[in-house]
Amino acid sequence: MNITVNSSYKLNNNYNNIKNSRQNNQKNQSFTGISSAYDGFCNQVGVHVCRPVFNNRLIDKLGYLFRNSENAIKHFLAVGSAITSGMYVKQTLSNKDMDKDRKKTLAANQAFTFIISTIMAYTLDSKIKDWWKKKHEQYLKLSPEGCAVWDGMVKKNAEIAEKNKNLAKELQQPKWSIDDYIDKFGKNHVMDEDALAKLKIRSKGFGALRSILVFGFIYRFFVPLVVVKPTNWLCNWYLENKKKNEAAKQPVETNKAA
Amino acid sequence: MNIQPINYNFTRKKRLSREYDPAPSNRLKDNNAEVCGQKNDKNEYNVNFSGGLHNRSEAAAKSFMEKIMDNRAFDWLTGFSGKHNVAASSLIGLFLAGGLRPAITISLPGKKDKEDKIYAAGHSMASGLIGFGFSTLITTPLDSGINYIFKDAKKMRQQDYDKLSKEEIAEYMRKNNGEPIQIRKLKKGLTIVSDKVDEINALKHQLSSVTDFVERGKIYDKIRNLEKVVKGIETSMHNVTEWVIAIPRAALTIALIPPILKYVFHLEKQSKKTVMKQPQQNQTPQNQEDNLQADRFFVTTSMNDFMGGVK
Repeated sequence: MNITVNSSYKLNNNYNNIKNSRQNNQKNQSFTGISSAYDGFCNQVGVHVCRPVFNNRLIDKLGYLFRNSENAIKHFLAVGSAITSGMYVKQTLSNKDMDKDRKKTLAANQAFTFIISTIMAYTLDSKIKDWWKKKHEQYLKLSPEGCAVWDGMVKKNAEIAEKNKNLAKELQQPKWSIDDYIDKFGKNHVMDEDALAKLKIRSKGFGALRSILVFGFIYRFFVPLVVVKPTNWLCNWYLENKKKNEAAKQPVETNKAA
Repeated sequence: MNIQPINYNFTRKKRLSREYDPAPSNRLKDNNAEVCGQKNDKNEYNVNFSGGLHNRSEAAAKSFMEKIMDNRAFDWLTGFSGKHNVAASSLIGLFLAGGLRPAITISLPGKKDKEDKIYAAGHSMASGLIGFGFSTLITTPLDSGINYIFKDAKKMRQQDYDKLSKEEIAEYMRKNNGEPIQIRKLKKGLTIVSDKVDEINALKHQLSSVTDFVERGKIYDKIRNLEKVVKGIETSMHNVTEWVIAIPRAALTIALIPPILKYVFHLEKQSKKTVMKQPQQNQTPQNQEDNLQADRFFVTTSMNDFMGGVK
């Protein structure tokens, strides 16, 4: 005879949580009028602005390009930063108040700083990838819904690994990432729609937060504080040297002319 | 009779064997708290945490990072960054460039370039504020609008729905907890997404008639690839706004920084023209030195204006 002492309090707990969250949602409805009007406005923006702007080949191609990217946000941040930096470089070059040499050096300095910071951001992002994944697990497991979903994903991936053992490489199935798993099988673990939607968004946001934090830290904090000053010194040093060289050359030229 | 306890073993037997265990590694293992009722080691029962202290032990085992993560504000942040990627990155920018960086810039030692520092700090704060305000105002409704048309494009086409048999509809409902299949409403929707969704639906329909193992695998691969592309398009749509608003945001930042510095931070930068127009008649050595200093100030600040990639 086999008896399994399995405490079912967890299931009840889960059910109670869902019930409570629903009740809470029903209580906080003082802003429904405003929020529904805002939702209507957003829907109209979607139909009349987003559809004509985004329904084009470029977005389609970007979708194909980033289909295998684990966290595509970082590429967008890097390109966005390239556009901004390019604009500052252009502005520097078209500045009439500065002399030519300084203009060029400053523009080169700006471009160089952008390249350094982008390399740094990509490196740091890939370095903390594994650590962030562990934290992702910890974060999701703080809630019972997340716990159930993560365990489900681990189970599923173990099954896939078992199946893949006997198959050739071409026939092997890829493992599920947590976001894809929630999309596909989240309904099997979490009954409440609101809780599932929240879990989905939070899990997605946690993954995105890695790149957002790293790129924000490098572009807007570390580089301006640490890298800009030394590159400015280098810039000034280069200009001073150039002036000295020109000053040394000038008398020779005047002698020649004489 | 075989009894398998899942969470805890209260028997004295295991505890005794552990007490006499000379290997310290086992003890360390047992000190880890059980999160979500998971066992750390399959072969060994966790005796350290008896039922009564279960909740407390879990709370005590929380690390610093877990304490941050187990916070409502952090939940809000992850939700916000999941919904609005661009606005979240500008929020982080606001925190770093608008708060932390000015504080550190001002607190750094060095009395000579105090004015420079205050100017740099004000500049950084203003750019952080403008970046956040502009990005959030523009991208938040855009994101919600994108979600609306995207959700609609992901629904099934009426023609595809008509093709489905009763069994297939029942199967779908069984899989989705009794939810009926939703049909696309917008006539002029996102065709780049809806075309792919239609293709996926057609492939899924095709699956029911194909029995060959290799063929089925190929169809599954196609479906998976198309689903990935749809996801890639969604990410691209949400984040491409970063590129679109980058130029007006930079222009606005450049244009609005002087008035913000003047009226909010009460700082005004000396322009080069005013420096050049200073009367040259009373050129005492002291005056000359002042002019030189003003010139140097302008040159150094113009170099210091540049604050990295994204302002």
